Amino acid sequence: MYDIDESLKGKDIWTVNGKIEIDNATDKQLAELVKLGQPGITKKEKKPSKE
Amino acid sequence: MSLNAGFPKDCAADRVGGIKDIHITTKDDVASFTGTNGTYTAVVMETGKIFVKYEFEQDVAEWRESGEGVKGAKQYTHEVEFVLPALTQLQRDAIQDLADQACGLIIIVTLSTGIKFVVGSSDKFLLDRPAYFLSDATTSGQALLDPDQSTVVLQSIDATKASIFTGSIPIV
Repeated sequence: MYDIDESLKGKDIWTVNGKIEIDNATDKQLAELVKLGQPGITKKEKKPSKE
Repeated sequence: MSLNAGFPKDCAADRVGGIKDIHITTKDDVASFTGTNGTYTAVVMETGKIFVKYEFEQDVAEWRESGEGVKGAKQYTHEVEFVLPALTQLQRDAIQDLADQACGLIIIVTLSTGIKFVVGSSDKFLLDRPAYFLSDATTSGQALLDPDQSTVVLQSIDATKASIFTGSIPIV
């Protein structure tokens, strides 16, 4: 669950593991990009559960 | 401002010279590089865009950078030089293609050691100071044994040493 900045939409990001199509990226791939320091990708905060 | 670290002598470092290959694309095809402080971990490309490879014969390509400083100001000149053999239509068009790129070029140079450097993007200027075609020296030679070839130089000028690229090069 990640928010992706508009500026990254449609882009291809090439990491050491090959190409990541940002529009079709899995959460695992997005996590990899965050770990690499890719700007424009942020993890969504969990909403507090209602009790 | 303090120095970050010294330089430990590494007797195991791979010190072989030369270039393995050169990949080039236009500035417009690159959106950004990911990373700072002299290391790029990834490159963000416009949709479907890639780098193309310029191949050359053994021991005829060089990447070099020279720095100079004046009272704290600094400038680095990065140059990539390679020789393309055989004066053919294909060779002619490949060089003209580089010369025609008025918006600039981004180059990834892979050294013989496997380390990759980026020419045309920097932490300070990002993609604002790309590489450009600098020169082409083409000769037919005079005698039968003279090589017919073109020596091409691409150059960018910015304020830091080239960054190392640890991602994979965008190719087909």
